[in-house]
Amino acid sequence: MAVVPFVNPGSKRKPAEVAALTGMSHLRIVRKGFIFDACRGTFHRVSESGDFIIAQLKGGTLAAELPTIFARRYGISSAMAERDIMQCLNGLSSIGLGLQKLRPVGRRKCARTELQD
Amino acid sequence: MLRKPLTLAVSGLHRGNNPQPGPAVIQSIRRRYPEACVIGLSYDPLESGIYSFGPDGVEAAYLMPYPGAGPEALLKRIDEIRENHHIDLIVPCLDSEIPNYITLAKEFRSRKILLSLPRPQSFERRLKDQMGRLGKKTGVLVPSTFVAPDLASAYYWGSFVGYPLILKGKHYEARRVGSPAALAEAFYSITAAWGGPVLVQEFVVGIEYDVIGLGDGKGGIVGSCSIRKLLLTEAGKAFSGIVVADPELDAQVARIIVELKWNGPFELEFIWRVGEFMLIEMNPRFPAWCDFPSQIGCNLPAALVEQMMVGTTTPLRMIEPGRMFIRHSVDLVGDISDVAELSMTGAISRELNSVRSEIAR
Repeated sequence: MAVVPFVNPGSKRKPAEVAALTGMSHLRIVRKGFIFDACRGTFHRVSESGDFIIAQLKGGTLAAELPTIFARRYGISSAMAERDIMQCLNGLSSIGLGLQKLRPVGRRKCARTELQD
Repeated sequence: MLRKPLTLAVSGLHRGNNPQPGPAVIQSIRRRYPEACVIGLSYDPLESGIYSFGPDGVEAAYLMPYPGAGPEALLKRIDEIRENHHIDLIVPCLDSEIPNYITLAKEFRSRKILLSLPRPQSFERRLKDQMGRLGKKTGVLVPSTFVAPDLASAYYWGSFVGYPLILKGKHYEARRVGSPAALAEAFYSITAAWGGPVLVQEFVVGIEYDVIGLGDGKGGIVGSCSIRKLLLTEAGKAFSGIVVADPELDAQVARIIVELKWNGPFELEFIWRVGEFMLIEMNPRFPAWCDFPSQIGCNLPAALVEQMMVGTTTPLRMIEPGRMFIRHSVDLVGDISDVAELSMTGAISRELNSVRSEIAR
């Protein structure tokens, strides 16, 4: 399965891959559906599927495995899972979560445009 | 541990809508030293801390000359107080008091009164109009700030930094000015209250962070606690905050403290915007929320006392991110006779037991 590229909307950063998100140690799941960013001091409610994605990444699930696990849990196609995961991560990024601690690891051409199209 | 009961003097006793740190400092110290006798140094008979019989209360309070009266007036008043009370140490809790205490450091030493103060140069280098240089030296971003001794220069710098901007008094008060039309009113209001010059500062929008700590005077930090401000008062003071643990924020704080070789309490205010921290202000005292970390293992005011009295400190715990405080205002009961006594004699004292029994309860 292809690695889902990840671009922060409006950011000049290079695309980072989902793999880089495994270092989300600053995000704490306080309880199901409620996360706390220990660096920023911000807290947010997240959907059940968002909660699942964060828990998986924090638990050490490899980015490459995540869409498969996600697709299986929710009974959706792998392509749809990739898209949902990307949307979730972009959502986290837009509220300042996740991306600040990332280092771009991918230099390949971003496939985001294709997904959006 | 101290062998004899401690007597200390603390200022900044008003816990109003813009709370001063004194009562929080007193309460923190009493958490470690419940037998401590506290003398309140007050500027107004209506400072709320005078009327507290709780653990943040004082056994005696004295009206003090305003800091503007100068060091001699301060020393004279302290000597008058010493005729009634032995004083082991003083914890000044208001920014404007610190220069007088720095000037009088030798005098206090000769009277065996302990103080924990920054070096004069360190104190100067964190002034609002000097922070640009400090930022450059330490690699910490600071907003563009310009000194405006008169209204014309305030307009000049206003057009330079653009609107909205922040107009600040040298020691206190900051006002957001939305347009040139509002500048004159803000300028005169601040200069009337605090004197000139004022500072014209770039308006920075972002999330506000606050770091409280204690410097050892050699560049080290005895302990610190960083929060994100959750609720703000109109004056921008934290009414609620949540502990954060950000290595970048900690690194910036460490660089500043190392550079200044800061001695004593400090508060650093930051704004986080577009992925970067910007230092807004550094205060040479504990903030009013200092009793929050004291309740969960990081008692900085008690560490300050220990540092002054014993020379070493018990290691302080790092506060876990996610612990939070929220301020809860209460109404204290007073009596006009107390106001009268303080107004007419400049002093008020209480049975020590009334405060102690309240603490014990």
